[in-house]
Amino acid sequence: MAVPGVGCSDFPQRGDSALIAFTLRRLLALIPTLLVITAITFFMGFAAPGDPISTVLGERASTAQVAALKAQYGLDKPPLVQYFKFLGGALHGDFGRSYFYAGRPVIEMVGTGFGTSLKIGGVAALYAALFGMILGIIAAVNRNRWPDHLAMFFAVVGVSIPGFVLAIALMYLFGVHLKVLPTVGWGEPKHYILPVLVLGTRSAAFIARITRSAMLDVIGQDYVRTARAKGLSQRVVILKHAVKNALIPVITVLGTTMGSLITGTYIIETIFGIPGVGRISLDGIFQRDYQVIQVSTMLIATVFVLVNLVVDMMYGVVDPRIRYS
Amino acid sequence: MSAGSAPVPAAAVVREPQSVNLWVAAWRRLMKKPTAVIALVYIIILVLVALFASKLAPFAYELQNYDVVRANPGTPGHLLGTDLLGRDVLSRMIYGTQVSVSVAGVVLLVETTVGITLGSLAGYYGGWIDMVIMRLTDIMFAFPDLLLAILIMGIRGPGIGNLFFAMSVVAWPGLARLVRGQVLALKESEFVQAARSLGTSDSRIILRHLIPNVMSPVLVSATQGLAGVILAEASLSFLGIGVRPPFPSWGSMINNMMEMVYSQPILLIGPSVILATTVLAFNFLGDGLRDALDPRLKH
Repeated sequence: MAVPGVGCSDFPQRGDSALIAFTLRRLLALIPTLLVITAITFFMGFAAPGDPISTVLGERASTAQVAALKAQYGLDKPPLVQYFKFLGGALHGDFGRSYFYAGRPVIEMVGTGFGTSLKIGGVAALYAALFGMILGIIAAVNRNRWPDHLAMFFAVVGVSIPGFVLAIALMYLFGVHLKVLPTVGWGEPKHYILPVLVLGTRSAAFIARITRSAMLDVIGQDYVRTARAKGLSQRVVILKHAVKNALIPVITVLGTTMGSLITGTYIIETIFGIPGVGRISLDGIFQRDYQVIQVSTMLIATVFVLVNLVVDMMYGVVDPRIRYS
Repeated sequence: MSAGSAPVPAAAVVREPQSVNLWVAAWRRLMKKPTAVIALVYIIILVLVALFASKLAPFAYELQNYDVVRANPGTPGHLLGTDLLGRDVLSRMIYGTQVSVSVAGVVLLVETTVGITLGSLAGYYGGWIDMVIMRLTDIMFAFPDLLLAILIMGIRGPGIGNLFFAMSVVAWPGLARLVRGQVLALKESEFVQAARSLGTSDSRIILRHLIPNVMSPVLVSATQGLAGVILAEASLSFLGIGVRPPFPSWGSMINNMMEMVYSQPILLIGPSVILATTVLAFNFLGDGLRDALDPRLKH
C-alpha cells in the first residue's frame, strides 16, 4: 500500500532479487500446504454419516442402482485411490462432478460464485483498511478528546456486534425504514453497499484499534518530535512521518482479520441472497453434495494462504528494514 | 496503573500479609475495573440462567401455540413475544443460554488442556516433537477462521456434540503456539536451570515450574477468545449448521425470525441484544483480565 507523498523508491532496487527469491520459496512451500488442505477436506468426506449416493437416489433405490452410480463417480475405489484420482483431475482443472445436480462439473458451480465472493471480499477489505486506519489516526491525533472517544466507542461496538445483528439493523434502517437501499438481490453496484458494510465493519473496528495504538507509539518517538521541532505542519508530520511507520501492525491485523472476512461471506451471502461461494457451499451442505463442499473449502483455503503470502510481502514494501530470508 | 505495589483499599489494611499472591493481586486489580466487574456479574448471571433454564423459562422451548403466532413483545404471558410457530421468545432465549454457556465452557476446557499440553511439550522438548506439533498448528492456521468448523459441521451434521468437537478443533492451535513461545523463553531461565541441576524430573519441571508461569497469558488469551467462540456458535447456528432444531440457539432464533425484519423487527431485538451483550461482556472481561494480570501492558 503506497502512502501518498512518501518516497519508498529505494526499496525495489535493494530488495528486488531477495523479494523474488522469497516469493518463489513461499510459493514452493505452498505445495505441501495445499496437499494437506486437500487431503483433510477430501478425507473428511469419508467420516460423513450415511453415504451421499444413497441420499441422492433416495431410500427406494435398489442396491444395484446405488452400486452403478457409485462406480460412475469412482466411489467404489479405495479412498486413497479416489484421492489421487481427484488430485490428478484437479491438476487439469477437473474437480469432479456434483452428486446432486446430476454430474454437473463442480468447478463450474463453485467458480461462478467464487468471483462474486472475491469482489465483495475485496471491496470489504478495502473499506475495512481505509475506514479503520482513518478512524485510528483521527483517534490517535485527538487522544483523549471526543473524536478519540467516539472512534473507540465505534471500535468496541464494531468488534462486539455479530455480523448478522448488524445486518438486521442496517437492513431495517436503510431497507425497511428509509427505503434507500435494496435488502436482497445481486447485480447492481447498490447491492454491494449493505453486504460490504456488514462484512467489513468488524475488521475496520480491529484495524482502528490497532492503528490508534501504533500511531500513539510512533507519535511519542524522537524523530516525530524532531519533525515537529523543525517546523513541519501537523499534516506533514502525521501523513509523512507517523502513518508509514505505524503501518506494520496494521498490516499484521489485516492479515489476521482476512480469515473472519472470508467466513463472514457465508453469513452475508445467506442474509442478502448473494450467489457467492459461501452460499453455494452451504447449499452443498444441505444437499449432502460433498464434492461441492470439499472443492469450495479447498479453494477458499487456497485464497487465504495466497492472501497471507501477499501480506508477508507487503511488510517489506512498507518497511525496507525488513529482510526476507 | 503501576506494577508491583498494588494500592490496597483502606478498609482492607487490617492484617496485610507481607507478600501478595499474584492471583490475589490480579483479582484486586480486576475488581477495580467497573467494566470488568459488570461483565463478570453478567456472565455469572448467564451461567445461572443456563443452569436453571427449565425452572426459569415460562414455557417449554419447543411448545407451539398457534393461538398466539408472532405476538408482539408485551403480550400477556409472552414478555418478548412469540415467533412464527407461536413459540415463546423469552423461553427460547433462556434455553439458548445453555448452548452458548456450554459451548464456551467445553471449548475453554478442551483448548486450554490440549493447548497447554501440546504447547509445553513442543516448547520444552523441541526437536521432532516440536516439529510435528508446530506443523500441525500450521495446517490448522491454513484454514481461515471458522472454515474448518463449517466443514466439520457441514459433513457431520448439526448437534451440540458436533458443535463441541468442531469448535474445539478450531480453537486449540492459537493457545498451543502461545504456550510454546512462553515455555521456550522460560526454560532457559535461572529458576528452571536451578530445578534441573537439583535433579528435578522433566515432568515435574513442566508441571510445577513452567505451566504455573504460563497460566496468566493463557487465561487472558482464552477469555478473550471466548467472545469469538460465542459468536462462532451463533454464526454456525444462524447458518443452520449449529444446534439441532427445535433446540434454540440465539443464532438460530435470529435466523428463524429473519424475515420479520420487514414486518415485526421488534421480535428480533431480544436474541440480537443478548448475543451482542454477551460477546461484549466476554470482550470486557478479557480486556480486564489482561490489564489485571499484566500491568506492564498499556492499551
